[in-house]
Amino acid sequence: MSAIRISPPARFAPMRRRGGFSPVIVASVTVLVVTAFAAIFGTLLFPDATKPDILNSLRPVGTPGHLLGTDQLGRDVFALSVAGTFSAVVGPVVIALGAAVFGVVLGGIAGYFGGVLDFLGSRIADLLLALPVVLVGIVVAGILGSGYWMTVLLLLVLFSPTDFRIARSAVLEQKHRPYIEAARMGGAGSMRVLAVHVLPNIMPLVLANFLINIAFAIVSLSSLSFLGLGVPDGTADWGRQLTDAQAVIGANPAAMITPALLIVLVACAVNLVGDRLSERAGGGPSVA
Amino acid sequence: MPSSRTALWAVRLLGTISLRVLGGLFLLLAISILVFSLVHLSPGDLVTNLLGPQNRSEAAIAAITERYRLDEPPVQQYFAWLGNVLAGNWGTSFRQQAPVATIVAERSTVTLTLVAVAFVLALLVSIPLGVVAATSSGSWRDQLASGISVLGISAPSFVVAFLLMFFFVSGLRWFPLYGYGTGGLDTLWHLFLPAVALAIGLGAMLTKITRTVMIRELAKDYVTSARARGFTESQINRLALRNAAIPIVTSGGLVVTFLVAGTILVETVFALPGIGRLLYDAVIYKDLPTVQASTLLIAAVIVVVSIAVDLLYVLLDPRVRRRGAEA
Amino acid sequence: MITTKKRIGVGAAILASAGLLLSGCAAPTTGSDAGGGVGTLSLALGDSITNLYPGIEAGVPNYWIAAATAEGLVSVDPSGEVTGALATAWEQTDPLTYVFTIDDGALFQDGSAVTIDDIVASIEAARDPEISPSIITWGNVDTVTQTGDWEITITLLSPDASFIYGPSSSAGLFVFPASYWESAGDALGTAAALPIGTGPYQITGFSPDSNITLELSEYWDGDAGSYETLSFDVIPDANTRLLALEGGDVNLSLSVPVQQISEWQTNESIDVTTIEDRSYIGLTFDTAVAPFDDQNVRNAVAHSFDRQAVVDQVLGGNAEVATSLLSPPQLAALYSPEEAREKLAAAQQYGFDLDAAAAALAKSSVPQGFTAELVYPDAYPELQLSAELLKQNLAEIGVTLETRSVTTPDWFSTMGDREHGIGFMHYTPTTADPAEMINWFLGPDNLASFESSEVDAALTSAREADSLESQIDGLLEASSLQAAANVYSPLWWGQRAFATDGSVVLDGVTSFSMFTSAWPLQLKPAA
Repeated sequence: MSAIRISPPARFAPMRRRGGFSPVIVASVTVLVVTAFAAIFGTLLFPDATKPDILNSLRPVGTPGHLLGTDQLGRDVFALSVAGTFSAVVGPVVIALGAAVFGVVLGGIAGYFGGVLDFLGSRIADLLLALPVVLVGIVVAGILGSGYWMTVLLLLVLFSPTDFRIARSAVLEQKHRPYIEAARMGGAGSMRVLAVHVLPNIMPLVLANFLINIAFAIVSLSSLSFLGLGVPDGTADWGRQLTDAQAVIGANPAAMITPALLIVLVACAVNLVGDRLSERAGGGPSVA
Repeated sequence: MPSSRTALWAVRLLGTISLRVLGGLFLLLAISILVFSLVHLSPGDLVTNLLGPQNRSEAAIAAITERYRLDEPPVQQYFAWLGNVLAGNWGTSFRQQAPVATIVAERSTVTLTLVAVAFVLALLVSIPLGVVAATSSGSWRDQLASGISVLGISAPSFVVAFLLMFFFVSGLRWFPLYGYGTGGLDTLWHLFLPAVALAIGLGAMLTKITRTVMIRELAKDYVTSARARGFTESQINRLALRNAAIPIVTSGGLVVTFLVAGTILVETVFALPGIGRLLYDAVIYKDLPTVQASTLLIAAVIVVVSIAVDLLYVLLDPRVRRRGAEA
Repeated sequence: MITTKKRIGVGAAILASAGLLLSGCAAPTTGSDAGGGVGTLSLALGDSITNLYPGIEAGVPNYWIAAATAEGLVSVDPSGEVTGALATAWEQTDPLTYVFTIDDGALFQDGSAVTIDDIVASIEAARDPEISPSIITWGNVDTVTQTGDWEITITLLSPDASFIYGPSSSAGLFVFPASYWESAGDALGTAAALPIGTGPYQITGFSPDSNITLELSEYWDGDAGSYETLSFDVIPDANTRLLALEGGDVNLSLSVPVQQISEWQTNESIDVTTIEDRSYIGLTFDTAVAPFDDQNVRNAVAHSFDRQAVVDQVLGGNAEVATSLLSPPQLAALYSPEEAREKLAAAQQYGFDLDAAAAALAKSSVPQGFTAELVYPDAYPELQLSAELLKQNLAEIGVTLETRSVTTPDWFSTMGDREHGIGFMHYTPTTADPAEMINWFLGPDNLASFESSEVDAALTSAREADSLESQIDGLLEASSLQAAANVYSPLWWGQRAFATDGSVVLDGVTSFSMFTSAWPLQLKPAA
């Protein structure tokens, strides 16, 4: 919901390292696999999911042919939810991925070279961290008109400071270590040192933060959709479904409850896996 | 020489503060320019918003154009606005036709109360929960606390708000349905459930922070030696918590942006006339003076909190102070 | 859902012919939990109110509040006929001159006497586009002069049968003390300067977007109101409004979403009354935008809209398929409902018929179809559904309709923007003037870029008419001429629903009284 995430400082001692997988993690991974499947194949499975059928609207749960009933536009709630996985998940993945690339590259450079670059980068990151995502979303999307990829881009920018900070502090910590000094003495260029020697060392942290960013982006995107910003009308999207179905909750509660549960379920699964990765990365349980 | 060291440290600190304040002012200026440009670039027409689509009278259009200086170049409009603001005049809301300062002051009272109640609630619940999780790390209690916090982080506040609404208001009828109450205790009573909805996400984050920081403290040497000297577990926990308090409170302060962002969703569900809804309506209507005043107020609060938090951190944490002095 | 309402769009007025009495489910009249016993009625509004002067914010709820608290020179009686308010009598001495005799004994709610200066100052404020940007009824007025101790004479620029509806608190005149106009300044209509009118209820509390409190004025000398205090709460979320009504926090909800009427009705503790409200919902074609300059295209689209399906399925039968820009209640003074419907339906109709639509398209300049955008305001779910249904049907004849949700202000700015060839109109007249909507739709610079000398002649004859009958004849003529050209395609006439918790009845509320008279006087505790 917010860009504020207190990234785990690298000096945190490792908590505990446990082998094996708990049932919770197995369940979370299963949820993620199913979600990924639905995101990729959802629209292929239900090509007509978003097609309104006004004269068949608000059928209750259990209607033959409509397991979870239909919404106010007569769209099958189940099919729409499956098709909506794409926009609910792909946007957040792009946001987290973009933020990671953006943040790591800039953070790495800032940390490695220091000086003015570092100062500027850090101040901009502070600035972005101080902006509440949803409010910026309201102002920008509200004024410029809603568009899914526009919103994704906005969130991407707002999400990158965390990665920037993680990468920067990790690089700061690593750059005076003997092996880096050695590589530098050996004539390796700065970029090469960064890419070959520093990057692999911060990857686990970045990966963990990547997953936690996905969870936050899911929640942020759905919050914007709830306010009517983000995705255009008629798109299959969980946040949008939730908002639209709110008015007709009496007629078919499943139209609203299904996307709400899906948002919480997927965000939970991503968070749990992210936490586990974060612990394994030695950062301790991340403070999301 | 401790005294000159302290003096040096104080000078550095003052320098840092003024830099941060300057930076904050610069940030606010940048935001105001950004908001102004966005509103100007946006489609839609203020004249239509003010007159309605039906009124095409030339006299009315001319009057509106003159009153809101719409025929002046945008840069001039911006500086006119800035000049007024610097003189303490925030202008008149386009939508409400009332002084913006009054409107924003009224609305922000609601939101600040809501945020304050939510913050207190979150602290009251999450710190004990985090401590329990940390001291029994790995046990079922830890798992439960962590599970709750993951759920809290994963559930959008509007979803939580709806759930609370349906269980406690429409189902059990324990709380008032809507509105802000008549002031005092009644207002607190009205704000309780919205504050809970807002506090859940924040509380979940604070639980995680507390747990992490406490685990870190409990692994430290002084804890080991305290244990060796025969301190009881509860004494040790208290000791560790005292040391963990600073990072917990400062991280908690930083999460204030989280609250500000969540408030609009909760205000919408519970029909609270707060600053979030004001901003949303103003954006829709392209009510520039109101958008400016509310975004700047929110940004200013965030800037002040983040400076205060950093300051607190520097003042309270002996290590940072030492490092500052040695640097 | 956050909307900025102008009078257009959001609508309500209660119709005389429909079931007036909200069936009083013998609930005790001990009143509301919210207010504090007998004497307080708690009402819920769905839309926000941010300014109490309709000259600044002209939403439907603003007019409701104004009708209860302020008066103009004239008002409208329950049958829709113009009667006196602060003017006890008036006379049209020639087609351009109206002489009003002012009540010399009226009192403001603060106890001060209404002077002629107060009235003149209020008229001047209403005419000033800077003070009253939303008021449009004074454009044709030439002079306003005091011509006697208690007499005001208004002269017009051209004859206008609609003028007499203008100086009322349902349109363009709200009489406040001259000192109020002077002192209010920028605070006009806000909590810092609560308007002081001459109506039965006085505004005693106002918190924008949240609450308005009205109290019975001790200086009102007309019929007494049953409730000492009316407390209006703004509750934007419809589900919350329903819950508030169920729990007795609210006694009367003035806003029930049309799509949810059946859901509210299934609740045993709630009485819902639906009433025709003279609102018009239709499609507007802009003849300046290709391909809608081609009547075959307009006909194809009009034939593709399944009006009956929307009325039955989307609106749950709480509407009537419209056949004209005029609606039957507007003809009520002259014709019975059956006669009125027959007269209106005599105009050219374009019923739902996809074969006819395909045939019309084939004859048009774009026989292969075309693509157009239709925006709908997010405040009206029924328009979204209508847009989607139209899109579905048009796809079958090869026309691609792109639909998009916009906010109400953005919707307004697309009207007549000469870019959108097709758009929705949703209009609720607040005055009893049958010409209110048509003058805008078919007058100069209209939304449809429609020009026709025959229509102009019909409108002129309506404007210059000396009787309601000849005014309506002119309007019927103009309406049927436009129907032949099919620039405005009527979809349905709307209804508005009110819901109570059974403790209150709207006694004898009629078509026009919600806007034009002190309607809260008609609220009575249930027997």
